[in-house]
Amino acid sequence: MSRHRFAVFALISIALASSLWFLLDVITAYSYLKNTYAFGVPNFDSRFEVLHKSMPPRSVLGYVSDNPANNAQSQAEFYLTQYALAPAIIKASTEEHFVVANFHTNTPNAAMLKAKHLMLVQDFGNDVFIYRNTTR
Amino acid sequence: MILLYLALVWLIGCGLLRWLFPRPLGWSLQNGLLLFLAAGAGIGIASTLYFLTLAFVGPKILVLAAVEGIALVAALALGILARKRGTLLEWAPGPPTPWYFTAALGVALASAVIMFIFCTLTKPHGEWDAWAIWNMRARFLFRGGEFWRDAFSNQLDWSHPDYPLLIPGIIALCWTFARGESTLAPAAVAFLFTFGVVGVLVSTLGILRGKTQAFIAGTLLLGGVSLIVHGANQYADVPVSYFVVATLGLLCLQDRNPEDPRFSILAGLMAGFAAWTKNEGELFLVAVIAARAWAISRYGNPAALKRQLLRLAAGFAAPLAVITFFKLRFAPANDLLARRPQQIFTHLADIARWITVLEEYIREPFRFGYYLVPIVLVLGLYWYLLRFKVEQQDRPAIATILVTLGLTLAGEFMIYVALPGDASWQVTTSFERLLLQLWPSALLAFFMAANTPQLFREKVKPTKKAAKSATRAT
Repeated sequence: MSRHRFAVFALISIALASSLWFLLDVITAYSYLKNTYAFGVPNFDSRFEVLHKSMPPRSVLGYVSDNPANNAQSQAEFYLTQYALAPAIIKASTEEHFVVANFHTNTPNAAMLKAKHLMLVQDFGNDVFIYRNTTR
Repeated sequence: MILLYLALVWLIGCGLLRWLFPRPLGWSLQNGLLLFLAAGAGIGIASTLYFLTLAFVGPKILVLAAVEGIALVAALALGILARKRGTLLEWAPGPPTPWYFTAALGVALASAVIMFIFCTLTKPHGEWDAWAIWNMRARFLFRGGEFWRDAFSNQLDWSHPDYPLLIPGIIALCWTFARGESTLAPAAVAFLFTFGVVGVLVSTLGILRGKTQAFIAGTLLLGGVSLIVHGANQYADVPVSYFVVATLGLLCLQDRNPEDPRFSILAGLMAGFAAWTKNEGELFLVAVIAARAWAISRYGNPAALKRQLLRLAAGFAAPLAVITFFKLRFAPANDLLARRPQQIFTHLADIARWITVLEEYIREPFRFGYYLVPIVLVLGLYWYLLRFKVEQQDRPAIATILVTLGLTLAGEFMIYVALPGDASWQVTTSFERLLLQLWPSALLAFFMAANTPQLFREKVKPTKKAAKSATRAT
C-alpha cells in the first residue's frame, strides 16, 4: 500500500510541479513581450496592411530585403511577408515585374536597387515599398 | 460570432454521436465522452463539406451556408430522433477515489487553461508552422475568392501545400461566415483540440479502468507542457494527437462491447479525420488497420476480424475519399514522393542518417513534455511499484495501441532517413511533436495495463470464530 501511495504521489507531484513551474515562465514571457518591441506576426501584418489592401486578389510579386542573405531572420521575414500578403504569391527573387521590398529603413540602399534594376513605384510606409523591375 | 459558428459545428458532431450512442440528456460519463468526441467529429465533417463545396461550386457563401446548414439540421434530427437504447457507458467500478485526485486534476486543468491563454495572448497567430502552413492556407482559402486554388501553388512548396485541409478548412469556414478574419478562430479550434485530448483520455479510461486511473492519467497529461504549449501555438500535431487517441480509445471500447459495431465505425471516422489533418495521419491510418488486424488475429476472435475491419473501413471511407480527391486533383506532389527513387536510395544507404535519427529517438523521450524529471523514468518507477496486470478482454485493445504506435514510429523513422535535406535538422525540429501525436495514446495503454493503486487498507470483517475468541479473552 505504501509503495502504491509513493508511486501515485510522486507522479502527481511531478506533473503538477512541472505545470506550475512552466506556467510562471509563460506568464513572465508574456509580461516581458507585452512591454517590449515584439518581432512577430502582428507586427508584419500591420506593416503590410496598406499594401495588402491595395492589391488585386491574384498577384505574383518578387521580393527584396536588406537582410543578409541565407540567414534565419531573413528567411523568417520572407515567410512572414508571404503570410501577410496572402493570397498574393511572393517569390524569393527580384525577377518579377513588381517586387515587394521589406526594408528596415526608409532610405534603402540606392546602389543595391540600381544593381537589381529596381525602380520605385510606391512607398507604403513602415519601410514597405513596391518596385518595378525595369528589365521585366 | 466565430464562437457561435464553432458551437454550431460542434452541434453537428453532437447530433451524429448522440444518434450513434443515444443516452438521456444530463450529466453522465457517456455524455461527457460524446461531447469531447463531438468536437473533432463536427470539425472534421464541417471542414470536408467546406472543401467539397469550394471544389464543386466555388466560394459561394449561400451554397456553403446551405450545405453546412443541411448537415447541422440532419445531424440534430438524427440526434433527437435517436432510439433511446444502445450501449451504456459508465465509470468502471473500483475503490473510492480520494478527493485529492479530483483536486490535483482540477489544479492541473486550471494551470493548463491559464497557460494556454497566456501563450495565445503572446502569439495570437501561433508559432511558425501555424502561420507558415495552416493559417496561411486558411488565408488563401478565405481571401483568395475564385483563386482559392492558389493555396496549393508550387511556388509555396516551403509551406507543404500538399497537407490536407481539416485545420485551414475549419478556420476559413469560420472566417467566411463571420465575414472577417480573427485570430479567435484558430485559437478556439486549438483550445477545443488541446482540451479535447484530455477529455477523451480521461473519459475513456474512466469507462475502462475507473475514476482513479482516469484522474491520474489526466493529471499527468495536463502536467506535460508540450501538449498545452504546442496546442496554444496552434500546431496541427495536437489535433492529430486528439484523433489518434480518439480512434484507439474507441477501439478499446469496442473490445469491451463486442456486440456493438458502432465503436469501430466511429473509430474509423476518427482515423480518417487524422489523415485529413496532416500527412502523418495517413501513416497512422495504415498503422492502425495493420495493428488491428494483427491484434484481433493474435489475441481476439479471428472470426470477427473481417467484420471489424469492414466497420473500420465504413468509418474512414468518406474522409479517405475526400483526401484522395484532394491529393489527386489539387495538392502538388509531396516533397518526399517528388524525389527520384535514386535520391531516396542514396539517403537510405547513408548510415550516418540512420545514426542521427536513432540518437534523437533515444534522447527525446528523456526530454519530452518538459516535466521536471524525465517522464520515462517516472513512468518506469511507477510501473516498478505498481506493475501491470492486463485482463484477457483488454489484450486486443492494448496490442492494437502498442503495435499502432510502434508502426507509426518505425514509419516516421524511415521517412526521416529518406527525407531530402538535413536529417539532423528534420528530426530535432519535429520529433518532439511526433511523440506528442502518440503520447496520449501511450498513456491510455499504460494506465489500461497498470494496476489500480491500492491507497487504503482493506477493512477485514471479523469472522464469527474470531469474534467469539475475542469475547472469551475479555
